[in-house]
Amino acid sequence: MSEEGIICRCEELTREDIVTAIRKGARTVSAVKRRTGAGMGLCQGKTCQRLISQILGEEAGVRPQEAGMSRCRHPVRPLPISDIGGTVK
Amino acid sequence: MRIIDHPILGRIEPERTIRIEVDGKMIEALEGEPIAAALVANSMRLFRFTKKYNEPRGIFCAIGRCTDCVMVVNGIPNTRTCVTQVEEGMKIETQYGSGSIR
Amino acid sequence: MMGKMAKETEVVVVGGGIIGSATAYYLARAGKDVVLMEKNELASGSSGANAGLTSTTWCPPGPLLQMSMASLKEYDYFSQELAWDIEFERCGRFTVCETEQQFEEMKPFVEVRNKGGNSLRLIDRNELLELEPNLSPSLFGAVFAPNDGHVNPLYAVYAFADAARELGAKIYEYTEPVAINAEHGCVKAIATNKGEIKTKYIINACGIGAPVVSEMVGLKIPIIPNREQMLVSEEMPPILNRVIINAGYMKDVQPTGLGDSAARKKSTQTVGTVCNQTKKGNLLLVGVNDFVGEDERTTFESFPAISEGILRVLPILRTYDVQIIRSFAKFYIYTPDQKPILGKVDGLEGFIMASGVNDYGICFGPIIGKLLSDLICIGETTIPIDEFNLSRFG
Repeated sequence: MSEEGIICRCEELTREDIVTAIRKGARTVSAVKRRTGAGMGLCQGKTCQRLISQILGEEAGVRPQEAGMSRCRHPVRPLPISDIGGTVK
Repeated sequence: MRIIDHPILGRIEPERTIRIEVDGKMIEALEGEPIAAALVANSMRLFRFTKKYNEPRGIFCAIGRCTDCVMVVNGIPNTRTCVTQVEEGMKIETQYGSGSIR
Repeated sequence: MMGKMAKETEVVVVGGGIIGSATAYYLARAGKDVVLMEKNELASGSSGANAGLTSTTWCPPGPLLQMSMASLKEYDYFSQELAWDIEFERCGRFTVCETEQQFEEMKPFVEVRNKGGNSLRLIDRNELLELEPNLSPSLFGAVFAPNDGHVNPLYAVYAFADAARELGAKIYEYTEPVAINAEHGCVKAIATNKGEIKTKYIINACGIGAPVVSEMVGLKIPIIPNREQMLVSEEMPPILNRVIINAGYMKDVQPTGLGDSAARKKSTQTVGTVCNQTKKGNLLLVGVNDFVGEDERTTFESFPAISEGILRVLPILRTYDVQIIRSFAKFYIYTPDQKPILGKVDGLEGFIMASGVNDYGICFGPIIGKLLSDLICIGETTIPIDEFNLSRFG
């Protein structure tokens, strides 16, 4: 449970969940994201990405520039559809 | 507890009080402040329960970035309370998981 | 993590997406020595950035329909008997008709496909709204495919790879071919950035990178990247039971045999409405479809384009004021006739194509893996794949 320390707050993933993905072969933040869903929640990794990068270093010796970050995509914050929904009533 | 007079940001002006409803209970808020500020000022720190482990959450980053503080506001779930201003008669509810459809 | 790379194997599968990982699994299951190599990370290509849809609706009768139906059965077996957690759900699909003309057109469409072995139903507006209450009452009806569904494409790739590994397959990430060695018209070895592997078979299961690998043996592959942009919504409570797609987009983009979807290449952009709700609760909203080379960026314009489409079909999203939290884009593996490129190649024994899957790669992955494994192990396939041979391009 969360006693181990929550890393991805949005998807409620613990450090152990991240380490499991690393044991299965993940060596970048993106690979951890694909395997666990960390970074796919409401904040889109703003809180957990740096922590995951750190864990990759601790568990697998991955340097931050190799661990990378998730690809930058819009929107930067959650965007309500009424702001982008065009002209449909 | 809220900061009324900040050494750099100054004083909150105007200090008009409005009423908002939180889980059925009416509380006082200052016009223009974020929902989260009103809740904290009224000693309410628990905003939602998470989907997977049903754990309590409230303010974390307080700058609209982490989405920990989301609640159901006027029926709309996942509303970030730290960057959403209060309005007279606003209806705020504790969010459970992803919320529900009205 | 890799240790020492194998020096020799029976089959090298190049490409760590759904096709490659499924093929590696079926081959390993059949007792073959397999190496799966991926130049980046597993599922980092097209297989890792799509809506995970598995559909038989569009398939014209013949091998395509047979393959899609068989592939779904393989997903059933893999997710239920073998209990791999890939979130495969045969929730059903509605191909919704936004005009009366579309609804009329779907009558022969359904007939032809049912004669070919599918079990589609054309349903009217009333039944549609009964089955899916949140859809717009402005729709005229839909083609209902009760057995179509969706899967988590990432989990599917990882599960096939993990299953293959359990059966003895070796999987190497960050490993890519630099040359292929052949002698007397037979594949002998594949040279990679990490060393050489002697092998009897090489399966080109790359997506948009397939031409690069085929180039190494002097083969020209007419594959071009076809970008699809999509949006992701916040997690929502259950509002959509099934996958929905508008009939116009199906006609425009998929090789149904109805419209001239291949003509799209000349137009700038095709906008459509496809939506499914994942197990977690996010809505995946597809899409804007165009040909822009290898440009993976999403555009600002795709946001209103996709939003307008989905709001016409699922108006509840406006009342809910759903939030979009992410956009992404990846490539379909487009071929000129929109049929896959599968099977042996003339003049090079041991080199097998497994690409050109357009927008149905996730759906066809398992069956392609099974058929190619059969091709290698017993020399024939239960579903004929001759019409998908590379030689058809002359």
